Amino acid sequence: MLACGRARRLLWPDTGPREATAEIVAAREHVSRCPACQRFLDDMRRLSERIREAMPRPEAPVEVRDRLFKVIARARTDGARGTGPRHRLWAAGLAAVLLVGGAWLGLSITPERGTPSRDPLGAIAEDHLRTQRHTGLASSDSLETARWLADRLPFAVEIPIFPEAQLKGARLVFVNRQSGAVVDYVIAGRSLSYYLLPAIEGETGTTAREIRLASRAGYRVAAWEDAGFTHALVAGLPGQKLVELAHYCIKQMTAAVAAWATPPRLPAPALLDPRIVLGPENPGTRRDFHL
Amino acid sequence: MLTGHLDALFRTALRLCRGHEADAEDLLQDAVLRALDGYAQLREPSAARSWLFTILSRTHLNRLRAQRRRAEMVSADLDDPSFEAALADWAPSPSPADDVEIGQLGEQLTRALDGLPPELRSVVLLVDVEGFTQREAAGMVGVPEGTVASRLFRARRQLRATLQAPARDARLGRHQ
Ligand SMILES: [Zn+2]
Repeated sequence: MLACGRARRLLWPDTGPREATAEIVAAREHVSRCPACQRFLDDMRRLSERIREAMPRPEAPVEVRDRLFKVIARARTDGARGTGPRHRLWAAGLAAVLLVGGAWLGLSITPERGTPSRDPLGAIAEDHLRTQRHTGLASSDSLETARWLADRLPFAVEIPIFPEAQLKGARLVFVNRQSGAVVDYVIAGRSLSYYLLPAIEGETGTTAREIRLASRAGYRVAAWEDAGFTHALVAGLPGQKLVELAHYCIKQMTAAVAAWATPPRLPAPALLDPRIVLGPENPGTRRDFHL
Repeated sequence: MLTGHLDALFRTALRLCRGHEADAEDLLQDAVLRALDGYAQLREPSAARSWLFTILSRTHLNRLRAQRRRAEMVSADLDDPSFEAALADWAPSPSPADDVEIGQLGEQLTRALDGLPPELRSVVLLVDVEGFTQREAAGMVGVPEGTVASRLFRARRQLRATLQAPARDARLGRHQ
């Protein structure tokens, strides 16, 4: 008969299915008849559970996060560690991985996004989100803004930085049963908003990063698709200026911006926010820029 | 899901550095910059979590090695016969009813964990606290699986005292 020590050595820790060698079979046979070994395995399980339960799980303090993301931002912006654009891309992706978890360069493990019609909890969450549409964060700090959005959205948002615009904060938008980000700025005394939403089916008539310019309700909208997302800039600014700002955005962002899987297929678009209407229903006012 | 990996990395770094927040932050930043350098090697998104913990563990190990002689670390591990003998010597724990209330335990456990040698501590953090398998933890700290097993066993044996001793004290107290 196998000794207790050997049997325990063979069967613990339990690493899941293993090849049933003669020795493993003998060890299992031993344990099935040995109360001391059963007790040992039981104790190990219980100790592990208690350690896991009892261990405090502090969150990273805000200042620690701040400093860490500044380190990442520094690597991204000034290439202080002898790096080029590739490094900046990775920095954005890494920030997304750290904040969102599991997401990487436009891919993601398990998007938690159920089918709305079959998901009452989703409907409740949607309703809650709808009530939050007009509340948001007032901040001029892009890291704080990115974190605020990351806590509330299932994808990471890269906060665009425009040379002449001041960041004012961020809020959530709810479109087509999906939540998106809105980042607000002031530029030359006028408000400018950057929208990031999972790509809208039916609005993908353009190739990636092709900027479309449209006028709606007195505002101009410059929109483009990238990495499964619809990006839009909305402002009461001349079209050419908006396109220029869109180019700034695209330059800063890469596929890493919106680390997210291909979004699910959606029904025809029904944008809830009246300020972005991207549909072709009013072609008379639509001017397309293919750049 | 939204919490991401940052909090888990931070608290692991904090315990690896025995509660010294400035050291933990330094370790975390160092690990993140290394992650940045190696980001292109990450091919599998689902591996991001274990990849980040691997970098954190290795960064911590490198620092430890720089701080002390290598021989001290190697001598800490049990060979196979000693490990089997230690397993066979396990004295069964008292019944679960004698366990300390979980609510009171956090601080004591933290102190006990900080008192463990770093090699044992990191294995408990990775396997028991963060839920990685023995195999994953072996890859992270760069030792064979059997070594992870023996470290885990020794760590739990030492921590058991913390998880149960106060209950015994309390019981003795009642009888006095
Ligand atoms: Zn036995």
